[in-house]
Amino acid sequence: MKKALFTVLILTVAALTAGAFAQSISETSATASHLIKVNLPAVVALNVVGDTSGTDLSFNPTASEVYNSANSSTGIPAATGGFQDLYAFTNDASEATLSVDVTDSASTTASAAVLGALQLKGGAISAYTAQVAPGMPQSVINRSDFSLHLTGTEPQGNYTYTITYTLTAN
Amino acid sequence: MHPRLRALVTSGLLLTALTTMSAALAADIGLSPARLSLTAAPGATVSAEASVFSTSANPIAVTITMGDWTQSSDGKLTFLPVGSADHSATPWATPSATSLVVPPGGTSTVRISLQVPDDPSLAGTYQTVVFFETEGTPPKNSGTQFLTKQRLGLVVYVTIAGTGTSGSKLSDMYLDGKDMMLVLDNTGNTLMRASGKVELRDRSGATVATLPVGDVPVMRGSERDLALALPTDLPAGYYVALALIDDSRGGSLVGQLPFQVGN
Repeated sequence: MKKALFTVLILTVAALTAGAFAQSISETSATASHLIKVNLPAVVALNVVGDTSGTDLSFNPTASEVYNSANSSTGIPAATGGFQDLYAFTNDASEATLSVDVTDSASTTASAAVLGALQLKGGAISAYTAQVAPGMPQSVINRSDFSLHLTGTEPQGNYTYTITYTLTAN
Repeated sequence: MHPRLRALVTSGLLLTALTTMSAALAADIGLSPARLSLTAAPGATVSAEASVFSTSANPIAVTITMGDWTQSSDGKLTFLPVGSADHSATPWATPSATSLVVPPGGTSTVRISLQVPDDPSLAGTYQTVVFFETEGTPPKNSGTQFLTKQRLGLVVYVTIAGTGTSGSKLSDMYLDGKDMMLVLDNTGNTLMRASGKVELRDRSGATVATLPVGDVPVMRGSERDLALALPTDLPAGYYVALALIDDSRGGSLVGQLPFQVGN
């Protein structure tokens, strides 16, 4: 960062060359033509089938690309799954944000440990955000962005993990 | 084949492909408008409608809840429990329904009302978010399972009439790896929306590339860091980046940064 090289000028619009700016954005209200949409393929729903002892754990083959086995030594469900492409749509001129949050059915007792162990794209995070390109008719979030690696340390039992995709254009 | 006819055939094939893709991606919901920006005086009630639509062949049950949110300087949103964010309008907001069922291929409308407290100390822009959340796919198997839910966040801004102050500056420009960084400061108490461009000019003054800046929200009293990717094919040489940013509330921000590509 070289602030010394950086010059800031604050000018009035009138002083600027005509056409230098694309447009001003009205702050009064959004128009009905602006919309956002989440479009999840039906097959994105993932089901881990079999018991939770770790001997027979796999994703629904129509829903994911990568399979893994459970951690049999601890009886903890551990799995890796790659989501199908996720489509987020916006025709709003502003940026939109897609975020992913993961919770588990035992969140009252184990959320911190489990969420801390969830990994999205290699990072041990419980939530993921991606910017949806502004003004694009459709933005595709590549499947590689949504590889989910679950290495939780849940007590043995059956759990339901809920993955919530939130699309917001602020 | 005549070029015009070929173009028509190509367009038709493309349309068919897009239609097929849309059909394969059924079971979705959408929201319009994408956000609401309202103005109200202290003590007044203001409201607006939003529509939830579906292209699914089945009815979609949706629950409606309120939340708080903030935005970090790099643009990431964080959703917070009600009552935990500054300048929250959530306590003022009431949706006309807490749940609805969107008919197949249809639309459901919800009205969001905000009762602004009669408090003369209120000033500037306040914000909330209305969540529209699907119920998710029911479990079909025993054992550990994954469910997916879709959630659309309708951001609602309400500005207290006659109390807004604007003010902004382009406080820094610098190179960070392959990105041109712009640092925008909103010193006012209302929402700023920034748009414009950064022109890259060579030593002759010719514009060799333009980096667009979309409609970027900058929250009241906050900073926003924008990372604009430089073209990967920029030849070695000396350049000047000229930033031309428009503040939606009036006024513009201009800055320049000389930089070098290569040795």
